[in-house]
Amino acid sequence: MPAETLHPSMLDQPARYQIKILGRLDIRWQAWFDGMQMEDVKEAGGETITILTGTVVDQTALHGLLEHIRDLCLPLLEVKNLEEKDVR
Amino acid sequence: MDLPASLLTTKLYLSPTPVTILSRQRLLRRLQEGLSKPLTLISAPAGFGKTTLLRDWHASQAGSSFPLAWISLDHDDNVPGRFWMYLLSALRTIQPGLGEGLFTALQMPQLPPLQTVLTALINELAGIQTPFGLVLDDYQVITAPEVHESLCFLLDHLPPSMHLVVITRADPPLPLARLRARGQLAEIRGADLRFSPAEALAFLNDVMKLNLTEEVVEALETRTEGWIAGLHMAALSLSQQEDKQAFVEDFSGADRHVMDYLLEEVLQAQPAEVKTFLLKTSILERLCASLCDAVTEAVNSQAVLNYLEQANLFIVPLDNRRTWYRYHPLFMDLLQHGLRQELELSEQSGLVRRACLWYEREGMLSQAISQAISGPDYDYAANLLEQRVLEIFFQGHTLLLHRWLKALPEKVLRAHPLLCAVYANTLAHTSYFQPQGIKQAEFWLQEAEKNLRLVSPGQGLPPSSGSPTQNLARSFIALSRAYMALWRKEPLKMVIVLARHALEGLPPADSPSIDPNYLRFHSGLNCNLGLSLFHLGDEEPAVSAFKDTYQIGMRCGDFLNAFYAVYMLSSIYRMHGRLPEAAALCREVLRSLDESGFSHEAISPAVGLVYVALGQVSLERNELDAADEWITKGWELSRFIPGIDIHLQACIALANLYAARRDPVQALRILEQFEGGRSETAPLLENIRPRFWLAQGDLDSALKWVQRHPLSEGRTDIEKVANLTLIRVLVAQYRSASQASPKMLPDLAPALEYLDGQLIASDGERRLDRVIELHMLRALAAQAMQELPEALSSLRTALELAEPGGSMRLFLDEGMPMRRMLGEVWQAYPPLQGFISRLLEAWVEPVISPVTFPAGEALIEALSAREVEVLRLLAEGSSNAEISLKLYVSLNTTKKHVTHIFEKLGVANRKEAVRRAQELGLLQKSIH
Repeated sequence: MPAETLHPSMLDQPARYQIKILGRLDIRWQAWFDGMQMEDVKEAGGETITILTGTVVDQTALHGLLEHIRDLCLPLLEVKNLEEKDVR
Repeated sequence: MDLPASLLTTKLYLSPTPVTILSRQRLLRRLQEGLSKPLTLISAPAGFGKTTLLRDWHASQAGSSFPLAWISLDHDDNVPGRFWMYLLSALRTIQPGLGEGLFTALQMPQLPPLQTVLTALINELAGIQTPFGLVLDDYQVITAPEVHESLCFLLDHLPPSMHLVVITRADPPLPLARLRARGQLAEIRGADLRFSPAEALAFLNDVMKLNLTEEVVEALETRTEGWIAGLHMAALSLSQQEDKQAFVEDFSGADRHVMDYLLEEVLQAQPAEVKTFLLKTSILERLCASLCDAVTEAVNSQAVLNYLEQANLFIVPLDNRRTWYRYHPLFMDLLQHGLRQELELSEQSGLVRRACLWYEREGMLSQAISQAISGPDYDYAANLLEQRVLEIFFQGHTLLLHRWLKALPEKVLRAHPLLCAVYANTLAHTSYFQPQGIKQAEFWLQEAEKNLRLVSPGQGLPPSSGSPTQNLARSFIALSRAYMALWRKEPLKMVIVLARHALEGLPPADSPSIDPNYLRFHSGLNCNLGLSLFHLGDEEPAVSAFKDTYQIGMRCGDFLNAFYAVYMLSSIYRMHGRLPEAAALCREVLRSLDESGFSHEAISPAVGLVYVALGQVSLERNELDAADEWITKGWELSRFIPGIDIHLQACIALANLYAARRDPVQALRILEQFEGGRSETAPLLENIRPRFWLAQGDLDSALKWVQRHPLSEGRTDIEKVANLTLIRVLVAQYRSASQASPKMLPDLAPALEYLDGQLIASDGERRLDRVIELHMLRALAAQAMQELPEALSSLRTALELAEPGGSMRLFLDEGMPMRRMLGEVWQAYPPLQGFISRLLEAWVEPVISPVTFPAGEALIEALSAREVEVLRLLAEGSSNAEISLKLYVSLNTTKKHVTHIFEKLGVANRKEAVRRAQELGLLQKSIH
């Protein structure tokens, strides 16, 4: 079903997201989070965090991604929508 | 399509605890204490030992005596029918034979109303006296709102002896806050499940026998934060290390995520062969040696599986014969990740393809499709779906089919017109024909048509000249459009044209080696065709379509359509006054069923349609014992017959039976209990209710009804029935007024005019049953108005028409006035004497109905029919909650009824109420 004609809602729109996870993940995990860019950053407090940035095709894909993170027992720090028009 | 028995048991099997676990008394105690509450929720991320804890409790002394049904859920269980079928299978492991009939009902192509099934199941569960539990493991895979809702319903009506345990990685959308506030929820969460330092010490040193110093244990515990899977992996790695101290230092100092670090350690420690095996088989939800051999293209899988189990490498046996295993879900996720890293894409798809082929070869169609979709190998999935679509569709897996089709990328779906057409159909059904669903369905029908190069969509279809798949696609398009037209109340002629088009695309039903699934297509279409023709008044072709439906349905095991056709044929014969023919048809069907040796499970609940039909005929012929047998049996089963209003018809028949046995209170109770009727036909109940009030002598209630139901033109059958009821009430009112206050006589003229009008209109109609009724009512009206000659002449006509078919209840139900008239006709028309004698003999002396009290009794206000019902249940010892469940009302309503009963009887408690009611003769034994 073409999304734009039948579900003109944000739920079915692609959107850029940034997800922060506690701890360093090896770069080889990038394939797991398909298409997301991965980098790790040392925080001021000495903790290392992993930042995933990229576009999800819709909200279902985003939730799938979050489920993956849950199932791998990765502590989630932040999920942020990066779309300018939809800052909320 | 369903899980083969060997796999089904793996879903219901609670594997024994492995040797390497730490028994955790504090948590076992909490589980035990939680049993006093309806629900235990064990909610924590993967690798926290949730399942293990419950297994350990079940093996403990306290837990082993507690019957526990177990089910491991997976993604395909997101369909209410399947979900509840597995739940029922699980419950049957501790209560064999539970929910017979429900089991078949849940497997039917169209699910009966879920609430009906659940209510029946809950009632059966409530009969189990000893406490028992049901565990739903991996509940986080359930995402379908309908499944959550149905589980909520169970939870709201949970029998006191039942305990529910939900194990999940994410809190389910159940009313947890409410349960918590009421103290009805026992919870074990991640913080509780983490190993404490003392437990970590005991686990690493006592269970894993690692002999670590306290400092090392503390370092590991801190690093893993008590996460059991982490400690487990650390222990596995440590057992391979020479220098344990160095390993721990390295591990503690690394900033990499615990499982990221440890997985590599664990995998590195394995022989290359095992490592490859683990990666390659990580795509499998469940593993067995033969499947692993096929996927890895090796021959030693059994040996590897044995090794993995001994090495405790996160593998769980799923049966006690060591056939099926699965990986610990966390480990499986990690391995799958490793697989993507290390194997080429083409190699990965080879694994998926080989797994699919193995499933297909073993007849596990559902697994093959699921594997192909998750692979993903969409082309393979689409091809397989296309080949087997009829089988999946007609074996009642519509929702599952819908989910699979939805998972396919649009491009793949577009390339398969048959799948587009089927998807349109499942879209329309799963959206309950809501505008949005219809719009989407229409889109996919047009996609299918575009692909089939149809010029004018929906108009004429070209002759079926394509491949079998293309023809089938055309049939599906026509079928979907026919359903949509029915739903949108488009002219029935349109539906008939579409149904005939759909039939044209199929190989003829009489071709010798036809696939039974094509026959199911035939029987379903013929039945709908017959129904549309019948409603258009085109009776002859309707009868022929129903006869075809019965023949074809019996050949392919489509009992629902076959017996619905029998029900319709019987109804048509009945309408023509051909009662013996209707009875003979039903008896012949039942006889041939006996001979064919179909099991009861196979034909129920569909056979309920034949029971109801035979019951209706028997009742009309006043064969009350036979009517009782068939109506009662049919009524029980009819609740589970989906989609059609057969349960409503069964209720009416049952109510009429009670009335025939002079128990109008019970008749009214049956009508009131009826729920879940479709809005279109539910008014029928409302429109016959006053007949039972009249039988009860309650003219006031009937007159109140009249105020809301003035005489109408009688366009629909429901309106006609209402008018015929109205005339009965008016006649009764006239009779009563002519004795008490002759000035208040109602005007019967419009009613008589209506009857005459209907009689003229019915000249061309073939509804003989109605014609008899119209003459009979004319007679009653004339009798009330003291116009005896006219009354007798009308009655004579009615009797003459009724005699050949032996229709009796129509006359008997009218009570004493009719009896008096019959005596007069007997004298005046000797040819009718035989029939009238039979009627008079059948007359039972009226008994005083339970709610009519002798004047001057202590009762100030009569109990309502509903209150009498509540009173009966009170006398049976039911609690307020049980009464609510049985009567489908809220607890508050029940309490209100009970209070009213106490007030009216002038008593203070249940015991007194029951005694007083018995004194007053309010509580009699009902028929059953």
